[in-house]
Amino acid sequence: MRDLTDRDLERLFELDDGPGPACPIDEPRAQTILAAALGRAGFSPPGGGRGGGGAGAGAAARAGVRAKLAVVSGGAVVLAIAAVAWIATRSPSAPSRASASASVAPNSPALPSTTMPDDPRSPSRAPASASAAPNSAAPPSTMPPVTAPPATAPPTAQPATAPPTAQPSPPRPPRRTPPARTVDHRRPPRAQPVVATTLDDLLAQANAARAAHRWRAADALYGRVVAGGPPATLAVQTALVASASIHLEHLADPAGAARRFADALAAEPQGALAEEARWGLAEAARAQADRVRELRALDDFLAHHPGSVLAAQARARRAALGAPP
Amino acid sequence: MTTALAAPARDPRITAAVGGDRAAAESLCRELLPRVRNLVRYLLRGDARVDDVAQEALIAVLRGLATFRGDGRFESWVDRIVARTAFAAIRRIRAQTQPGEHAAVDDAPGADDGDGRDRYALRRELAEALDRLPQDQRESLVLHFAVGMTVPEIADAVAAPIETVRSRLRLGKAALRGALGASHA
Repeated sequence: MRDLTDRDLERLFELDDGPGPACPIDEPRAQTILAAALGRAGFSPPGGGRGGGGAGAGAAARAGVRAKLAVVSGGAVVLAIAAVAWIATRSPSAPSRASASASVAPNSPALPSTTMPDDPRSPSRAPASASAAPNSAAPPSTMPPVTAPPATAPPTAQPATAPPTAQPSPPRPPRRTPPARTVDHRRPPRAQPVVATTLDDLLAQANAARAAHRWRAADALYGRVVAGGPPATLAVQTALVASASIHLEHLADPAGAARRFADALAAEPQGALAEEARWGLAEAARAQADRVRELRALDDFLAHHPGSVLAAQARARRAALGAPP
Repeated sequence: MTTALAAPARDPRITAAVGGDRAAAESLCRELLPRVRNLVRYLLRGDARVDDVAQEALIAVLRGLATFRGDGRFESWVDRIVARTAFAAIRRIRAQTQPGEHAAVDDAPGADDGDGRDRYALRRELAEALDRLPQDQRESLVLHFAVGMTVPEIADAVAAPIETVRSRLRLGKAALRGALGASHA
C-alpha cells in the first residue's frame, strides 16, 4: 500500500456527520445527552418547566436545578436541619428558629463544617444526570447565595417558577434585633430569604436580555456573573467577552470594553474565547483611535491566531495603519 | 459531505438560542452532536468517556453562543471549543488514571452498510491507531487534520513551541502511516 499523503489524512480525519470514529448511539442515548446539555446550559425543559407556562429560560432552569438539588441533596438538608436543631438546643436564649427553612440553614457560617458535607445549592456538586460528566471543563459555577432585592431581580425571572422555599416573600419580614447579650453567632441569619442563583441562570438571563437589546440590563447581569465566579470559568469568560462587546458596540464605552476583553484574556490566555478577546482588544483600540495600541493588539492577534477567519482582516487593517507587512 | 451549518451566513437558530429558545438550541445541538462526538473520539483515548465529554463540550458551546460573532464558520468555532473542552477533560482523566490503566475500546458494530461501513471501519482504525500514539502527537494531528489549525495555532493552543509542534506532527504522521499501512499490507 502506498504511503498516506497529507491529503489522505485530511480526508480520513474529516469531521462530517458521517459515521465514526465515535461508536454509533441510538436515539434515546442521543436524546439523553442533548437534554442534559441543554438543561445544564440553562435552557428550560420542554413545556416551560413545572407548571410555569411562559417562564423565562433562566427562571425555569433555576427551578429545575432546585428541584434536582432538592432530591440530590436531601441528605445534606436533613443534616442541616439537625445542625440547626442542635444549635437551638445549645443556645436556649436564641429565638426558636430551629425550624427555619432549610434553604436558609446552610448559609450559617458558623455551622460546623462536618455537618454540611455539601452545599445543597451547588449544582456543580449535583450530577445533572447519570451521564453527566463529574467535572466539566466549564463547570456550572455557583454564585454565592444572594438575597434577592426586588430592585436587582432580573426582569426575566418569573416568580411562578421559583419554589416557595427559596422565594422571597413580597412583604419582607421586619428585621428583628436580637436581644443584647443573647446573640449566638452560630445562629443562622434570619429574615434573609435566600435565592440560590447560579451563574448559569444569570448567564442565561443576561443572554436573553442581550437578545432583547436591553443592553444595560444585560451588562448588569453579565457583571453579576463576573462577580460571582472564578475568572477562569467559561461562564465568567463568556460574560466578560459578551459584556465587553456590549460596551463596545452599544454603550459607546470602548475603554470599558478594552478592560473587559483584557480581563478575559488575562484569566485564560489560551481559553476558548481568547480569539474573540484579542480581536475585541484591537477593535476597542480602534474605537478609541489609539493607533499604537490597535497595532499592538492586531500583532498579538495575528501571532496567536494566524489561521483565524479574521486574520486577513487583521492584516488589511495593519496595512491600512501603515504597519510594515 | 458537509452539514447544513456550513453556510457562511449566521444561522438564525444561533440568535434564537442565545435568546433562550430551547427548540433552536436543541436543533443546533442535534445537528452538531455527531461532529462533536467524532472530534472528541479523535482526541480521547478509548470510547468510554466520549459521550460525557461530548456533553460537556455541547454545554460549553451553548454557554459561549452569545460570543459567536458570525465572522467565520460556526462549525470551526464549535470545533475549537470542543477541542479545548476535550483537552481539559484529558488533563482531568490523566490525573485520575492509574499508570498502566488502559482505556476501553468498544467493539461496536458498523454504523451502516456499504460505503458508510467502510468509512466507519477506516475511521475506527484511525482512532485506534491514534490511541497508540503519545497524547501530544495525537493532539497535534487532530488539531491539524481534523480541526484545520495551522502549526502556530496549534502551538498556541497546546502551549508548545512551534518547532515542537512540527516535530510532533512529523512523528505522528510517520506513526500513523506505519500503523495504517501495516494493517492494509
